[in-house]
Amino acid sequence: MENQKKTTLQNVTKCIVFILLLAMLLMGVSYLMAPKDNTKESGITNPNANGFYSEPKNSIDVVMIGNSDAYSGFSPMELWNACGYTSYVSAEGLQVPAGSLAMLKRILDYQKPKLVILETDGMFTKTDASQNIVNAFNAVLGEPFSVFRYHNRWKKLKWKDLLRKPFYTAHCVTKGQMLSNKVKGYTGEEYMVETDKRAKIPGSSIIAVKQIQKLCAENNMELLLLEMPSESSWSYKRHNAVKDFAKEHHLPFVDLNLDRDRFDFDWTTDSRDGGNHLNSAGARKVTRFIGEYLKEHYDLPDHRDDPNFDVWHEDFKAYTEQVKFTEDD
Amino acid sequence: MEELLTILENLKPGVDFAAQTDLIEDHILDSMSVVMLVGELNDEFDIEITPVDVVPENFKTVDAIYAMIQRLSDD
Amino acid sequence: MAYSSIVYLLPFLGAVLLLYNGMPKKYRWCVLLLASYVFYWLNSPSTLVFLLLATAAVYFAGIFLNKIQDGFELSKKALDKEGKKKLRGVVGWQKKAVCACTFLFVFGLLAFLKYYPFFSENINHFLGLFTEKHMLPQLKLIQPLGISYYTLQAAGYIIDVYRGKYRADKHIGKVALFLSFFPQIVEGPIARFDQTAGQLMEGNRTTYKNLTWGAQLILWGLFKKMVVADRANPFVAEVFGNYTENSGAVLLMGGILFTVQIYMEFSGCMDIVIGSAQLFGVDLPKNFARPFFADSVNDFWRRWHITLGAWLRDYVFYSVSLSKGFGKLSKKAKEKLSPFLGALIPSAAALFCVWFCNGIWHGAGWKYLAYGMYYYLIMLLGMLLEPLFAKTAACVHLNRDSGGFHVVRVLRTCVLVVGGMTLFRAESVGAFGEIMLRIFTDFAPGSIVDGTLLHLGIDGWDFIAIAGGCIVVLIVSMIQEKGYSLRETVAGQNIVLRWAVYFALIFAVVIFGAYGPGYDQVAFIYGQF
Repeated sequence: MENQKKTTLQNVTKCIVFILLLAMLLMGVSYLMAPKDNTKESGITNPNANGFYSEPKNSIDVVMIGNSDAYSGFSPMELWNACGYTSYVSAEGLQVPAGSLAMLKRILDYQKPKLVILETDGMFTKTDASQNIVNAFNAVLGEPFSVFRYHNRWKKLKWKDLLRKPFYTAHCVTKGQMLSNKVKGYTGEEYMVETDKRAKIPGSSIIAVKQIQKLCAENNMELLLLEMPSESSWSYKRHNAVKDFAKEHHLPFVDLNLDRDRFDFDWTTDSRDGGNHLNSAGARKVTRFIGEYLKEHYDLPDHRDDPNFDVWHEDFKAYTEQVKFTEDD
Repeated sequence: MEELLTILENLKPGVDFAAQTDLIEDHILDSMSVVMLVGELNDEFDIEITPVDVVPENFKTVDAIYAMIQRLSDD
Repeated sequence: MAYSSIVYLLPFLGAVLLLYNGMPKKYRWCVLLLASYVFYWLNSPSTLVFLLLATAAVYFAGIFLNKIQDGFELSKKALDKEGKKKLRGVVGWQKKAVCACTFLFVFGLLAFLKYYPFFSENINHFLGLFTEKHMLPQLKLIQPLGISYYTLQAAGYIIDVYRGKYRADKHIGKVALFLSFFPQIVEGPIARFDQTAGQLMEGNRTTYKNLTWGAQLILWGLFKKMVVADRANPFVAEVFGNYTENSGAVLLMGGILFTVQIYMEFSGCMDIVIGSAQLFGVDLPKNFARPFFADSVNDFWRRWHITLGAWLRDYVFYSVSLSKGFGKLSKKAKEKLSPFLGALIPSAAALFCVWFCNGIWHGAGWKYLAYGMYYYLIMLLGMLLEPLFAKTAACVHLNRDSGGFHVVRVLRTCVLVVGGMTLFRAESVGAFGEIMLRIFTDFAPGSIVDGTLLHLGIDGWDFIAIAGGCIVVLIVSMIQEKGYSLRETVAGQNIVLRWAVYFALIFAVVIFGAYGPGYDQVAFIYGQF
């Protein structure tokens, strides 16, 4: 009996040591395999969304997180031009709130925004149990165990990159926005038909948004829920669901699908793909409206006359050039 | 026993059946040869070997086969 | 919830393991049964009812067979020899009727749910030649998860009870757990009642050895599936998807890589399955024994999907070949034709049934039927020509037992297997014909080396990873084929070496596994049957 107890104890110890050792090795390999820059060539996922790493530390006052609706519809440079606010859009295709949470945590390592805008469309993306576990893991331990995200880089590893410290060099003049001059309008019926029905927000999204809210509170950041115009993904049922959620959790919610005349929105000219995503022209209209809303509700600093931010004026020039020459594809 | 060995010898010439310890595991008797063997045994000993009897334990060795024949003839 | 998914491996298996060990020994089987139904319900909620129906059917049929047998034993004592014989005849018919009804029900469900679309389509096609009316309706049927596997287990149970191998079990929970045990419900192995049911009910605590060995086996399965099979998948899909645009050499590569993929995947899944069961102290029958070392097609099928082959052998092959009808036919043929053919007829006929069943078991379609017939013809020709081979070999003084000839036979078997797998993967029999035609008429060997291969879904690094994974599996298989237990050897080493091996395997999966951004999870091929 005594002996048996001893072996059990030994075995339990062995298991624990094994798991700890494994965790340490995984963290070590994660460090080796993590991209050491945020350029496209470095192997980082979504270099545009990760451009905030190479902005001067704590220089960004507003960040937007969310899915493709966000990086298509929000233009940090237009916001700069209109209000002088520094902003960045760290959105990724199909980003769900758990992914937004992971992104926000990474942003906070380098930036100290005053306002976080969460684009709400991603809240309705359906994920299965396995994806939820992966997303939750990434939101909590994604950075130390980045090997699970970056393991495919084994094909492109360079010896000199293995041990060096990250050094971020990419400079994204659109500050995360994806430009498009393509016009493919939406000419169908009005999609925001008032109803009492509510779409269901997946539980995993609710948990993650609450976590985002908590993180914002801990870091003295305001949180704003916002929905970009999108005919194909949005509906009044979803509007109601988010409105209820926002009310329950005391969060402001702006739905740009309603009263689109407020910012002269025109579905025939402002979409790049027939009503799902906005093009650069749509983004300009939407962003100007967001600027007015921010001016009215928040006390954000105007940096246009601050010499420390001169580079933003140059970036704006570069942005206007890029908008002009972005091919219509 | 003699008859059994003759049948086996005809089925697979050149195998020293008496010396084998596991005819099935060593792939000397596969399912085809088992079927042929069963046909011969049924005729020769006037017994009826059914699928229930066709298990490795009954075909492992010459002695096992012989024991099965004895048992079935008694029935 | 695939066996290689995180949700199965961590929360599901973990929770079941904790619950199982937390329960008193007496009730542990309840945890397994509950977990099995939860697993089934999570995967395929609407078809759980069919599993329950099949369970009830074989349970009550078994009890009924017991009753008939008991009645016979009781009344036969009072009878003389003639009376006994007569009664035995009657009882035999009763038992046959019970079996027939049960089969009609369980195989009927399988046939209807799995084969109706194929059947109705072909019937309608045929009817369409004469009339536009009276068509069979097109039904949208969901094939219940694992029905091809649990139906065979259920039928095997009833046949064994009928044959008197063992008595039917009075414990419905035991029968239910035997049919539904969650690790094997999706892809087998197809177990026999006397193999697993007892173990499942024992409720032994998870021992340290079972925990570690089970986990290792799961890891080994993940290695095969994620590093090799899933990485090869885009290439195979691309080559077979656009077979009309690829050269013969590329198509041959596709066939070979599909063979590699399906082996790594199916045997890898079996490792995960058997490893999962081991956590609960249950030894499932093995399904693979290094099939690519087989020296004949017959040998291959004794090493590949072993439990299916064994099921068909015990319940189809022997049932047909040892039936009285064939016995008489064989006797006649021996007298009238030749002793050789006479002996061959029952086997040849039974073999046809086996391969017909094997073909349609894999799926409802002409392709699968052709797949069965492909192996039937190879085996039949082998049997018919065997005397000729022996004579020829003797004439040219070829030693058919020499090592060199053995290698030739192994290679020949591999070629035949790749051919079969190509048919299995091809869109249709016609597509298979086209692929074969291209391999023989438009081989273009240059397309192997000119970089074409690197633009078919995977890059050079992927090929290296696949090759590396294959070499590791090959070395392990060679050691096992020699009769050594690699796991025993590793377990006998000191802790540094032992853990180094485990860590190496874990990191091989973590780094070289085809998962994450850019890879969709690939569904197990054999789960679809």
